[in-house]
Formats: sequence, C-alpha cells, structure tokens
Amino acid sequence: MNSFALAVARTLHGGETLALTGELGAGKTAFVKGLAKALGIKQVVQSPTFLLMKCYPIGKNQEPRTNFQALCHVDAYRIKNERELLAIGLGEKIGDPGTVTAIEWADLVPELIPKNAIKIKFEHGAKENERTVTVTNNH
Amino acid sequence: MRILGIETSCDETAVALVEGKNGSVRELEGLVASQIDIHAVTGGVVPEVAAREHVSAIIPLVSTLLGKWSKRPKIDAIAVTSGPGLFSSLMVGVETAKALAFAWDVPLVRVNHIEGHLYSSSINETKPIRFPALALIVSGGHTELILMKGHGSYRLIGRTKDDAAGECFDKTAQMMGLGYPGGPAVSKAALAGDTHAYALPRPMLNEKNFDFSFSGLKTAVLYTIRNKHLAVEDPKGASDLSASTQAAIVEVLVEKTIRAAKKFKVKTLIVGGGVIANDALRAALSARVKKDLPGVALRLPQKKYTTDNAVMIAAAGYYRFLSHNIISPSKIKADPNWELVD
Repeated sequence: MNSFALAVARTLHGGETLALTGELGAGKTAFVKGLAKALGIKQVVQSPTFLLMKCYPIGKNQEPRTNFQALCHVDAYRIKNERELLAIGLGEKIGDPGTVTAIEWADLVPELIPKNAIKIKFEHGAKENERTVTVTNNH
Repeated sequence: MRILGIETSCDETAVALVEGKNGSVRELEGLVASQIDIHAVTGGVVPEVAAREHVSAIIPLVSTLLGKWSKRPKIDAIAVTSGPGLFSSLMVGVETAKALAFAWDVPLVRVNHIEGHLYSSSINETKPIRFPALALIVSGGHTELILMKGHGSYRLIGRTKDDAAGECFDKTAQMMGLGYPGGPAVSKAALAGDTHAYALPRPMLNEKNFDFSFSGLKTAVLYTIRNKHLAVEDPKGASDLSASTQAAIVEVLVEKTIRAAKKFKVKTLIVGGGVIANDALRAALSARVKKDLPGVALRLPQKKYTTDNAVMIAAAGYYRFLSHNIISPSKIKADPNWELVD
C-alpha cells in the first residue's frame, strides 16, 4: 500500500481530489497514511471518521518539495447528507490549488466529487493481506 | 468561582455552569443541544445538518442555561474548547466565548478537548487527584494515554496509530448489522455471548510501547464474518462475535494501561471518554487495578459525563485558572490540531 501511495504522491501537483471507495477494512485509511508519509507529513494520520475532516499542513521546506501546502483527509462514512460536508468547509478545499483532498466513502457523496477527480477503488483480495486497487483518472 | 463552559469541537453544542471551590468542582447545570428540544429553543430553525449547526444553537443554549435561575447568576470566568476538533465547529465556540468574555468583562481560558475528558471524573468529586497520574482517554475519535505530573502538566505516552477504540466498536457493530453508532449495541449483544467463540487478534499488545491500533481488529472481524459465513440476522452469531470483539478491545486497553501505570509508578489512574461508559471495560479496569495496582486510586467518570459535554470543559478550565495556566484572549484561536502537551 505504501509503494502504491508513493507512486500516487509523485503525480500530485495540488488541487486534485482523490475519490476513495471500498468497504470497511479495504485499505482507504491505510492508503492516506501512506500518502501522508510520502508527502513528508510527520503527524500520525488517524481515521477521520469521527471528526469528518482532518487537514495536515505541508511545510515549505519539507522534503519532498510539493506545489501544495496541505493534505485534507475527509470521511463521508457517518454523514447523512452531502451538505454536512459543505457546512464544515469542504467546498473551499476541493479544487483549491494549495490543497490535495482525499475523500473516503466518496460514493456516498457523488454530488461533491468533481468530474476530474482521481477515482481509486479498494477491494479485498482472495487472501487476507491482499488488496486490489483500481485507479480511474479522467484528467 | 463560577465558570461557564462552552464545547463545540465536533458534533455536540454544549454549555454548562460549574462552581469551583477549594480545589474541587461541582456541576450547577449542563446542557447538550442534541439532548434537549432544540426546536423549542431556536424557534424551529433546525436544518437537516443540525448535528453541527453550532451557530444556530449556541446563543439560545446559553440563554436557556442562564434562564434556569430566576436572577442571572454571576459568572466569574469562561472556559472554551479551542481544539482539537473540526475547525468550523471549534470556531463557533471560541468566537462566542470571546464575545461573551468581552461583554461581561470576565477572564477567558482555553481548554483542550482531551483535557476536558481527563477532568470528567473530577466533576462532583471532592478527593483531589494524587500525582503522578495516568489518564486513558478513549472515545469515538481518540485513544490516548497521557501522563500527568500535576495539574496542567501533560505528556502523551501512547495513542492509536489508526482507528479509535470507539470507532472499532461502531464499525464492527455495523458489520454485524447492529447499526451505527454501535458501541452500546455491541456491549448489549455481548452480554449473552461467548468471549472465546472467535479468535481475534490483540493488536500491538506485545509491542513494548504504549500505542494502540484497532484497524486490523476491525478487518479481522470482517474476515470472521466472511469466512464463517455468519449471517447478520443470526442473533447467536452476533452475540458471540460482539462478546469476542469487545473482549479483544477491552484486553488491549486494560493491559497497556496497567503496564503504563506500573512503569510510571502512578498514584492515580484516570479514565475518560465515551468508551468508558462500557460496563465490561469499567469492570475489567476495576478488577485489574485492585489486583495489580494496590494503593492506586481509579477515577471513572459518571456515565453522563462520558460523552462530549461542557461540564468537563468548565471543570478543566477551573484547574487551568488555579494553576494560572492562561493566555491572553486575543491569542485564543480555534486550533484543530492542538496537541495536549506541557
């Protein structure tokens, strides 16, 4: 999962939305943990299910250098209405060139996901430590 | 002194008034918007996103609180949660608190949300905390072990690397068809279940640190359901799996906490957060403290103070005032990533 996250991190310029889907335990949070690590974020990335959105700043002099200043980790799992995520300020994060936004359970909030989002689908494999990841990029 | 507490860090809008005297705190009144008829309070303005509509709830809630007295009670200070949490939610509480402190000309103190949970067992308790103390804060959003050398002296010694313990309860409940949030449902289903029915992992139990991980346990429960072809509508299966899951969560929490308490030779063990409403965890902690930590005082909060509330914020604020642990109101800002350290 970490090497996949690193590969994704290298393609990011800022302003991207990563729409993550997959059932419980499929690896969505693990992927964002790997992404944060690849972006040089030192903070422990915990599940955002309870808080709904957690944003991690990326320092100017932090290695590796990036064109964006924050990674926002969003979770739609427990919300009842898409507007709840707009009410907490998600609208200002999506598409902001200074931010990369990763949204777990993106399939629950289809209207909030921009058309050019990078869609990443996580599936349990045949074996317990196996995962299948499908990436769709309409850029 | 009388302290008004304000809490808006995530879902709940809450306000409370406490009396702090001779080093201990007593609740005078506490209100949580989701638990009262907010329609009556806000005049019917309740949008669908009511869970986090702190803006429409906060002022009516303060008025309702102060309206409980025939004459407006004198308030000596205000305490507000300024982090960690959701920025947009925290901001409502912080800005309201600043405005009230300015209008009433009273001092304002910021409180860390975790610190509130840490003092929830000190509400209506006259016995002082004996230091050093270890605190286990365990809720839907947090799982942390904090060492305290005195009031206001905090050192984080362990935390979850992924999911919080409360989240593990909630998500496994969902898998078992028990609904969300599912902590109380799992604990109820577990009553009739066999804790040894399913072999589940105890993540990080044997690692020599005080960190936790619950994401792998959640996935193990999913695999158990899949591999054993458990039907969610089978009450025996849900009962046994609930009991086995709860036993795994409780064992990891208790073992690591007891180990940390021994290592740091603490005199008090404090627990706070929504998960300590769980009876199995309360019983296991009480038994282990009695057996392995003789002389250590265990402080468990009353169940009504386990979920997010403002009484605990006002209580924590009182201890901040006592130790003059205050900063200028103009410097108080909503800080979603505020880490509780020295």
